[in-house]
Amino acid sequence: MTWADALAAAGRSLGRRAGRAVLTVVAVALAAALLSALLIISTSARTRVLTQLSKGGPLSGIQVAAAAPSATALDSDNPRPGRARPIDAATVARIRAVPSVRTVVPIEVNPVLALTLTGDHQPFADRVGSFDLRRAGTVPVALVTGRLPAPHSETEVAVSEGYLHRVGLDKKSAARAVGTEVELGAPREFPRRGGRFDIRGRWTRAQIVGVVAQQVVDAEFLASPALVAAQRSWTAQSVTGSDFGLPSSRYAALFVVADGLARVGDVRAAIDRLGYSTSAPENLIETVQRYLHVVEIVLAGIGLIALAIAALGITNALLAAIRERRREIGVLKAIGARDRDVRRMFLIEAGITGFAGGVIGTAIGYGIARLLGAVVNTYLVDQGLRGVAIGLPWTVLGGGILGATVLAVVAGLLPAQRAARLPARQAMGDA
Amino acid sequence: MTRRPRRMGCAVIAAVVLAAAGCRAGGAKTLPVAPAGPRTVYVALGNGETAGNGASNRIRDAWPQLVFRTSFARSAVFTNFGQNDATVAEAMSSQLAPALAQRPTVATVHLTEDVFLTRDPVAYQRNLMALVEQLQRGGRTAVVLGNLLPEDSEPGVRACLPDPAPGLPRCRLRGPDDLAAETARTPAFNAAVAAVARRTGATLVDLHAAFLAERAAGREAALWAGNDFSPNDAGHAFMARQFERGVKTALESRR
Repeated sequence: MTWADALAAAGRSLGRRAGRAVLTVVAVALAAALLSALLIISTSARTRVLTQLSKGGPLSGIQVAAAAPSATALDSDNPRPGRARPIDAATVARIRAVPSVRTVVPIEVNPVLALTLTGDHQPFADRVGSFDLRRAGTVPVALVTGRLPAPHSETEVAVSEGYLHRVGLDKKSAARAVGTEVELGAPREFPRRGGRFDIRGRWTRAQIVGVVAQQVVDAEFLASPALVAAQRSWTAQSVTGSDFGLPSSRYAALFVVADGLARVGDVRAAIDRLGYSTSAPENLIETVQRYLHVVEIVLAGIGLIALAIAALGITNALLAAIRERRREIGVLKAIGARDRDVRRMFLIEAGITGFAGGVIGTAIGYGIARLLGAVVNTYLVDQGLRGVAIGLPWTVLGGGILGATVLAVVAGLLPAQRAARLPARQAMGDA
Repeated sequence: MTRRPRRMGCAVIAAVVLAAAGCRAGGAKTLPVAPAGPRTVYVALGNGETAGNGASNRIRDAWPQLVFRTSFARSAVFTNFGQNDATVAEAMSSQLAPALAQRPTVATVHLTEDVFLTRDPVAYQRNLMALVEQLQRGGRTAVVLGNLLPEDSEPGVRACLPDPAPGLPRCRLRGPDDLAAETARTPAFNAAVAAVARRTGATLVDLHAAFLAERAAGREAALWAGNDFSPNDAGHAFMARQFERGVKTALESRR
């Protein structure tokens, strides 16, 4: 008997007992659906939790302050910085040269007086921050709604949640701030008679195009480097040297990305040796990763139990099939079929059942994960948080189909073996 | 009979795929990028009114800020150099140089304190002429020039009348004789402003006539604040509308 004959015979057998075949496939599909849904959800939740811990930036991100490190800076994820220490272009170059540093993103800020044009709000003093917006993915800024300003725009800003509070909005209604306009005035002192001085603003108008969940260096506005550079140039010319809280450093901070979480400690130590204070959630992330791994093991265990039950169902169905098909097995053996031919036929039958159940089950599992993701996203958005993006994990889907097939074949081994060893005379006689 | 399970399987897969396709994770909406218009640099030179005196919010509601907000594209940059009690001579020393450093494309000038402080319309005209000529930068800056408001309606001035109405602030001028002299000088100063506008080609905004028109319509009282000598929010908005028309005229005449 060839493989094709065995395949055809298995197919005919499944077709003759369609009800039982469908029930067996459904059992496998439900188990595969449960396992794949649990794995997809846990993977997405893991990404979400870790992203939240790293404040929207890469897990291997390190914030470098314009300050010297304290004595025990490296013992803490978020140490108290020491005395102020300027960060200039030379500092950026030295940190870029540190081994295992992937990228360095300088962050600039300038003080501003802000006028919001919605409602009767008083002008308020805050800061506008910027970085190379083309590299937004490497900086811990999570978008709540809208988008980030265009990289070279001087007429667009994103605002922080603090701005929302100022204008009487909460996270849930963050989208209402998008599309409104603010006027930003960079301050500068001008001399006046009698040794006095006047403060003049360099005013620009900007449309709010997005709301970000975190602040970049404690600034309520995020804008392009072009806008902040023009403002800094204006403010820095103050006659009395008043800095309006403007950092003496060209860059208020740096955001450094290391080559993976495992290299964060080394990079922090190197930057510490260069004389700058750093912070990174490396210890927190490692701890949380360990807890998440335990959760994944538990969820996978639940899924595997379901698969084991499905495997028992396959075994049971095949054993029942052997009992019903003893005459058929006897006839096959009488006309020359060998033990291995009979075994192959039953294993193929089990494999088809497992494959079909695996395909349907992983598809259902993915659908369940998406549905749950939509429900969770509705809740998160209601809470003013960023939603969870349910991806398409090909490894989980592929593994689900392959695993269900292999499991079914393994579950079919015992019945197939029993059918193969059934003597032809006994099979015919019993029938 | 044998085809039914296959059809059921296909239906289940199709339903799951359709359900999954319909459920998208909450994404951010995309806004169009604002077009970058030509950069206008607007500077306002002036005294108390320009600095926002009388407005309930001196920064947000001062008339130059309103002009900046409504007359120019979003890409415009604006600096208000208005100072309390600044004469034209003081403006030349403390406002003109930083204003020129901005390389302005549009400038509004509303300097009227000389009528109270120097009281010399000839010197006023000479200084204002020099200021406007420098500000014009050989034609690269469109200058819009405002004249004096009819100060006989200012609450601080009306408080010095022989029989002031109740509720007005305490008189801070030197007496009814001086008051008559103060108001008498206004036409001479406004003539000086008109002459400067005519000779330099600057656009004149006749605030005096506009306020008198409001007076004739019985609406002028609503434009003045109770802080002695300045317009209120409505007055600043009214001034802004006059200057907006002036800016529009000045920019159209340059095209």
